[in-house]
Amino acid sequence: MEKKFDFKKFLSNNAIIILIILLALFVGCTTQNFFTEKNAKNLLLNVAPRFIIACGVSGCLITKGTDLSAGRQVGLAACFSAMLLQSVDYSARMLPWLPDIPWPVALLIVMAVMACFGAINGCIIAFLKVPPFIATLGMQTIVYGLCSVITNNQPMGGYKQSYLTVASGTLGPIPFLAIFALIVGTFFWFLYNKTRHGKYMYAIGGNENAAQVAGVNVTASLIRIYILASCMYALGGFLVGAKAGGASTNTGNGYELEAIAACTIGGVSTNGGVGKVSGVLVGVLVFEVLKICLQFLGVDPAYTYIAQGLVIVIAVALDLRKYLAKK
Amino acid sequence: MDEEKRTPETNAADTRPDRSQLNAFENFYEKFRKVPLKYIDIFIGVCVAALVIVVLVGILKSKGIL
Repeated sequence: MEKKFDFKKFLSNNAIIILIILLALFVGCTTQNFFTEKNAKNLLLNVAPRFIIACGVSGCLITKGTDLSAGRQVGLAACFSAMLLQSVDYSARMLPWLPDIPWPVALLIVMAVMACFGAINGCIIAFLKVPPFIATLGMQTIVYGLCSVITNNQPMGGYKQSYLTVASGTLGPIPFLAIFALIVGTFFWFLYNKTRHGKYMYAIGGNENAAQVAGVNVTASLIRIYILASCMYALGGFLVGAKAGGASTNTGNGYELEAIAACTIGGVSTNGGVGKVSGVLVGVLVFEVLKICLQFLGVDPAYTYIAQGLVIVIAVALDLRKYLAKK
Repeated sequence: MDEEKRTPETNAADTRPDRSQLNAFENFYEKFRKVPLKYIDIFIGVCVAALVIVVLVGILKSKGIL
């Protein structure tokens, strides 16, 4: 029997995406230079690091968790990267004794350090059964404090050219940042759809007790998820620092909420057990398009925050609607 | 014997998940269990209207009209 197209369900599932597309069309028709190659490239550069961070958060959300320390971890990673990759001849170098190290080595060091924070988050959540909201809220404050201590609240700059090229360079017409995002997206798609870890993750999100009874090592899976998330924040922070050409304790502030909102918009349920990498990408795109649209419309920055908040509320309300409709 | 003592009310109560097994979001979502979908739709509609108003006010404010 042919399945009937349910327009109401389609609208409910894609309401925000439709709303943002309509807004983009309106902005494109009423302003100049919106549908240009330069704007598309700008969008791509903004989306790439946020998508990487959102991929990290998505794993936590799928297992009914969350990670409020994401933004501050991004900031700490950006500051670590800055300390390791300042130019040797830069007069205000944070670590003057440090030899010149290649950026891939610095990235690995930053990822390894940040993975420790992820492991701590995972252990607190998995072993001590502390609600992820509380555990990661504590970690958020700790990481911010650590970041302030190691940087003395001083902004850092003077990066070496090879690090700056990571953000500004291109491979043909494709920016390096987009290539990073593509690699991470492909990795997460494979992880979520083709590996045992991915299946365990959805099982834990669906029903943790049932997953445990079925033989899933919930504790190890949760720790792995939070470590992987922190590695993604490290990569995100590394790229955000390279893109900005500097880092400070305020780098990454609020990124966790943007990432959670993008995941929710993209269909990753805050109830767990549901979510796709493509949805995360759509969510990040929608959020960034909204920001660019509001900029083009010349909306007062204070009102931009209100609009973004309303979009998050709508996304959660739609998720709630889906939950209630299923019951 | 226990089966005979069950009333429709107790059966209905049994279908609700154990609150201690739910996470913060589910607990939050469960509070809306008895709210008709119609009201959620109205709330979403109001939020969308508010979003449009905020954008319009933001544009007018930046242009000095408001």
